[in-house]
Amino acid sequence: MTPDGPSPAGPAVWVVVPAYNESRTIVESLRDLQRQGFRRIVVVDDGSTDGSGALAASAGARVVRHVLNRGLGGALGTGIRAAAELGAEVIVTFDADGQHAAEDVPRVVAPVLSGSADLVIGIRTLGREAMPWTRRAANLAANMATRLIFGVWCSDSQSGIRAMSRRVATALDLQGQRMEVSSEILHKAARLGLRTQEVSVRAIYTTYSLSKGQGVLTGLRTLARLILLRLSEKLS
Amino acid sequence: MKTIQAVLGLIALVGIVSALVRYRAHRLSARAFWLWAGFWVAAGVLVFAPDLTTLLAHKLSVGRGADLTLYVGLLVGFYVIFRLYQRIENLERQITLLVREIALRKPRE
Repeated sequence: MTPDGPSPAGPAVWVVVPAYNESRTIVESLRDLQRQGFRRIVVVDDGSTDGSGALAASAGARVVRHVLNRGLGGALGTGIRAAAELGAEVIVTFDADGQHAAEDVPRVVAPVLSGSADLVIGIRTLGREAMPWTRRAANLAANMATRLIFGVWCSDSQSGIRAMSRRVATALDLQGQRMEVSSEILHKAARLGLRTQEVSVRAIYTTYSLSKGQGVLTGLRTLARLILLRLSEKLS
Repeated sequence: MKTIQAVLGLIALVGIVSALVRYRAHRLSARAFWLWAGFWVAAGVLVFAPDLTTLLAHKLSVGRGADLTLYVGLLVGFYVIFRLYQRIENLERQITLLVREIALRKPRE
C-alpha cells in the first residue's frame, strides 16, 4: 500500500464520497479508507451545515462543496466529474455514514481493475442479520421496483458502494438528483450493455447509519421519482 | 346559448388561439400543437353539443356523459401535473448543473 492507493503502478483509483451533514462519521470513514491505502478521495460536501466539508479536508480528502444541497444523485455527478478531472481511471463510490467497511473496497475494485467487469455493485449481504426487518423489506421493495420499472435486477439496488471505470462513469450521464440515482445507474448500465457484477460486502448497521438511509417515506418518494423518471424517458 | 356555454366556449377559443400563438413562436412542437388544438376543439364541440358526451359514454360503457367528462378531466389533470413535474425536474437539474460548476471552479479545500 502506498499513499496514492493500493496499486500505484496501475490505474489511478479515486474514491468519491458524497456527504450531507455527516460530521459524526466522515472522519472515521475517510481514515478507514486511508488505512486501506486509498488516499485519492474526493468528498462532495452537499451543502452541509455541520462542518462536514472542513472535517473531510482536515482528514486529507479533496473537498468540493455544493453551495446548496442537491441530493445524492447531484453529489455523485459532481464527485465523478471532479475525480475525472483529477485523473481518475477507476472511480469508487462510498457512503460517508459509516455503513460500509473500507476493507471491502479492494474486492469491489478488483473486477474493474482486471477488466472482467465494467460496473461492480457491493451487495450488502454480510452482516445482514443486524439489519432490521423493515429495512430488509424496504430494500427488497426497492429491488422489485427497479426490476418492474427498469427491467433490471440487482440483489441490492440501493447500495452506495460501487466501482466503475472513468469511461463508464462518464457514459452513465446521471440525471437523477436524489436517491433514485442508484436504480438509474443499474438501468443505464443495462441499456449501455455494460458488464455488471455483484460482490458481497459487509453492512455496518448502527442507529446512525440507519437514520441516514432510506426510510419508508423517503423510499416512497424515491419510488415516485423512479416512476416519473421512467415516464419522462418514455414520453420524451 | 347558456351563459356557461359562452364562458366555456370562450375558454376553449382562448386555448386554441394560445396553442396557435405558441406554435408560431416555436414554443410548441407540431405534435404538442395538434394535441392541444385537438383537445380544445373537442372541448369546444362538447360544450355546445353536450349530448355527444352521453353518446361517447355509452360507447365506452360509462354510465353518464357527466361521468365521462369527469374521468377525462381527471386524466387531463394528471397529465398537466406530470408536465409540471417535468418542468420542475428540469429546473432542479439546471440548478444542480449550476451548483456543480460553482463547486468545481472554486479552489478545492
